[in-house]
Amino acid sequence: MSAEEKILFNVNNSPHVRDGDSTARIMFTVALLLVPALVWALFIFGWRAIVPIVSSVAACLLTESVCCRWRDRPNSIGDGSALVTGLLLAAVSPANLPWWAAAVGGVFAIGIGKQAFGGLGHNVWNPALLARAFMQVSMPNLMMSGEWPHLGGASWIGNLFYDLGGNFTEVNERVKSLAGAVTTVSRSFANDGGVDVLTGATVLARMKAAEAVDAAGQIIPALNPDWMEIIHAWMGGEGGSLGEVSALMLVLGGYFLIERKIISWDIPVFFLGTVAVLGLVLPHPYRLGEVYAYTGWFQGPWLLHLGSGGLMLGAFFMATDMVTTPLTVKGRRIFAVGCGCMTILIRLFAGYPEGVCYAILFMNTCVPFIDTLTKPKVFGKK
Amino acid sequence: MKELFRGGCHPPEKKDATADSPLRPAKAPPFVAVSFSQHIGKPSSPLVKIGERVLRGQKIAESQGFVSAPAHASVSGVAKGVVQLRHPLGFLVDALKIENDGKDEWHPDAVIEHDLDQLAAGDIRKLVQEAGIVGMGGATFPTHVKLSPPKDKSIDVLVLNGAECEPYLTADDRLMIEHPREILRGAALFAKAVGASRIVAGIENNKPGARQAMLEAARELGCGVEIFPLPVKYPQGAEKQLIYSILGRTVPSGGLPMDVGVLVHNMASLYAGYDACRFGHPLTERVVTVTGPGMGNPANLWVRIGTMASHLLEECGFDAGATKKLVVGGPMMGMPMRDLEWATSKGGNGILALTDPVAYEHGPCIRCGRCIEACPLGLLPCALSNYGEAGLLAESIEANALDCIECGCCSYVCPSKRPIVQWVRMEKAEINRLRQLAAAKK
Amino acid sequence: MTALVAMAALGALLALALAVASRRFAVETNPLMDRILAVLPGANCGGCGFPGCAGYAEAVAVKGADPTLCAPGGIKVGMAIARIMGVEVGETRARPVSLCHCQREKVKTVAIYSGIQTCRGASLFGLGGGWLDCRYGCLGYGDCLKACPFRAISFGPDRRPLVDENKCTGCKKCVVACPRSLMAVGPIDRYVHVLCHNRDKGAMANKICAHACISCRRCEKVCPAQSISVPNNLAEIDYSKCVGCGKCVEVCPHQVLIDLRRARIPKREWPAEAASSIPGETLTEGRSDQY
Repeated sequence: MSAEEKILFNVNNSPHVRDGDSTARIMFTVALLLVPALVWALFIFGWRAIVPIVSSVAACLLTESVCCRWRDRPNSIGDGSALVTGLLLAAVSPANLPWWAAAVGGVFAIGIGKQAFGGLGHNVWNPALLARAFMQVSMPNLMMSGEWPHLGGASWIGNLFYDLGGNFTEVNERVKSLAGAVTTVSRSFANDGGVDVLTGATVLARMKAAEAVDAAGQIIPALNPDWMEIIHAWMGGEGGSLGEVSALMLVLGGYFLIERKIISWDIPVFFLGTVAVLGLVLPHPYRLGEVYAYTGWFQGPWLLHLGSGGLMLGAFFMATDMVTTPLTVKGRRIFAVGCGCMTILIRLFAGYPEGVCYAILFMNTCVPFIDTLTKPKVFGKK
Repeated sequence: MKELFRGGCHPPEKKDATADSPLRPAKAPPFVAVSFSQHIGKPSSPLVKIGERVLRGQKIAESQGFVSAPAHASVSGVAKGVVQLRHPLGFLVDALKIENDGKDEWHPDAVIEHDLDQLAAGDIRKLVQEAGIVGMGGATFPTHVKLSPPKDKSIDVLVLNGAECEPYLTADDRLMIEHPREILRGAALFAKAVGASRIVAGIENNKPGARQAMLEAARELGCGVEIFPLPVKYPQGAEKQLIYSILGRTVPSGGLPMDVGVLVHNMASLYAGYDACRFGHPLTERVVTVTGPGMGNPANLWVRIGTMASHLLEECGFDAGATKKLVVGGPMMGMPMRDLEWATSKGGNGILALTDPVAYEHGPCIRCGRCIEACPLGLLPCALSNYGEAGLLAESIEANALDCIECGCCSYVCPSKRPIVQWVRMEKAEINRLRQLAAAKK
Repeated sequence: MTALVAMAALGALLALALAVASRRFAVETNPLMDRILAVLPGANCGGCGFPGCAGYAEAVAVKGADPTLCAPGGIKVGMAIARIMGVEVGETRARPVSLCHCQREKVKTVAIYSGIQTCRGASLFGLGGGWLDCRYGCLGYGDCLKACPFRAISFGPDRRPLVDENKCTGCKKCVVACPRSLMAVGPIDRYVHVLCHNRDKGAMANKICAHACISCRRCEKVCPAQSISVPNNLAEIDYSKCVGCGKCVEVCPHQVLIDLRRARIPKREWPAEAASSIPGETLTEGRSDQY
């Protein structure tokens, strides 16, 4: 027709517009919202806690690149899922995990937990939790180090407690005495002889052991925490992995995840709700001398349950991982309730003090079954 | 208000550019190319000799069989020859090229007026068939066939589709604002043709002007048409979803609206029906919304059937350099065109010049479940996409691929940018092709 | 000690049970079928028309199917099966190989297609051609490549498929895969081909591709055996009459007809078995009017 150059139009099939969201945006937002919790953990545990974080993220990214090259696929670290796995793996590791252990975990998480199944979207189990389970079984002493927060670094928590009318040091002492298992006290020359690091059993381990000695030397159940102890647990006064100490930060991160429509509110609410309800209602076992006794019904320390262990991390970041959870809303609610039940079961009656990791892994296994049961009804079909 | 239909998505409406632009006729084109196949069914066969002078409204092609429609000259002038035009689906169709002599003379057979009260149901159907009216929402199904349901299916409700749920399009909106009386009279005629006792117009809430105009016109005419306000959601205008939202009736899978006693018609078809019955005008022009970020002067135009896109877009300030995609229809279900060498037809209600980059590298399915929430039919689009990618036809039939209405909600919401609906279309095409081969063997 | 004895006893008991079961519940197999299955190549390509090699073995042993249907196996397998079944084989023909019937060269891109990158995807959408102007031509995304179980197809010039005749066995999986039916299987000693499927009228075809058949009919006029006809704007050779003289190739103005003996396509080394044969009728020309 005319001498102008031919303009080429795109002839792809409809729809010709797309929603602005993308997998990369979802993953990077999740990673971003995990950062406050990890920063809080750095604050509590000191700068040394950066080691497992950096090591696990680096190992995950490297493994993903190598596996993609091996499988002749384009490198997929750009979609952000390996970064999220690395950060989550760090969140479930203790602060003094050696760099090589975190790296091994990262390689396992991505290499076996994700790429061996076919890459993003094909894995059955949450890779970070799978790696944690692997590390717990193969390196139990490293994973159970249960380091306590650095008292000096957490001094502003102490001031806050003071302002609230409590006494952080006093509560800490009480908690320590209840634990009865302060195993290591290491002294740091930089702190001119002050206590640098304390290790001891976490609140859940104490609940498991459940035996304590009060000031008068009487054996009492360790399950009647008062408000100070609960806030103490929530704000990271207790030991645990990097994610466990930041329950408050994780709730904030989780809130923004829901607000940005990255996850839906169903799973966290149903998961936490089930844990809270069962944690309140069920009788908790505790050891009285040589025998086990049970507290009564409706006497459980549900707030302590909510604030301890990786429950917040699990409810907002692990159990909401899209790949390993059911497809439909109804299915996800069933999944969340199942996770809650398993968590309480494991915490109360099973050999491990921490139930969230295995509860979620167990429910991941049930996901195909849940999917088959909760298929939506097709419009117009009986 | 009755329950909303399940699923759906909310693409940004983007109707501001033309929502307040009144309808006006497009500039007279130098020639038109009226295709013989602008409808579902057998192409019509040409009647006119080359070199003959034809008048506007003159029948230039006769329908072949019942499921077919005649074609009429949309301008007066000399018939120059039969050309081959590209149909959006890729094949070539024959069309009659008529040079426009500018006189716009109507053929005497095309201006016979009727008294609407004197017309019986059979007369209405005949007039509609002779006028070559087809479904003008895009489906292009011959309207007289729709108005002749089989004896065992009785229709009690006529639904007027004023949803116009696709972004950018405002053709039906302006038609309702400016010609509500014609539409309502057309609806009364169609209702008479099928014996429907109730007429309901569904209008989305983003068209308050249209709703107001239709309400006033209905009151004025005293015709008892109910105006039903619809929440804004895509694909509200899809037949099954519209019927469910307004009446709560569920069209069975594999069935048609007449199975639940309903008939759905587009506003433009109703206007054309009135025009044909009252004034005897066959279908020679239609409203088209020409818009998009790549269009300098977006407008709602009365376009003669067969106007070449190159002539039409010149008038609207088409920016070829900025445009990445030229779409006939809406952005969710429209057909992309590769150049400007095609003619407008009875079914195209919009022309969009889109400037967004449209090439997406798609990732694997991350099982987020958004497509399942978005699917109006309750299918599992992620599963269908995996079956399509792997070529598993039997599994996709079991997963109800044939129920898909191809609305595109799943592809729209997918964060991995998977071309889900394209895979489903491929599966459906393959299944139908194999079924045809099997049937031919028998 | 008790553990040792218990385990040993358990082991012995289970071994006995297994032995009895393998006798009692043995599945009767047709010995002929087993012998045939042993000589079949095991590609499970389906070119014989039966579901996999086991299906073909069963069909031959039990239902008396033609023993020479295995294209990948070729002459050796055909003879072997015939020997097993104790039958004679009939007259021999050249072995089948596949060929792509499109020569588009420097055809201009008319649109950008970035949807599903398969030939089937582009042919159904992208306006029946994706980037390509010709509605019948090769789209170049390699569906045939991916379908070939023997990796006999690679991308030639302009991303058209190039069939390695040493590896091609004529199983016809590429014929099924091509959405435009451009691949066809024919005997390896068939040298003259019409390498175009364009059925547009001459003037339009001429505009689209320099190697499109414009139905000028010169080939039809010059053929001494009257084997060429041009129905529906495309030349067609009736191979029952074609003598392979190549006169049509010389007169075609667009080089649509080619003689593989002197083709521009890279020269092939005829394998030794080109002269030898696969018995039986297994050959179909894959041309179809479906596009």
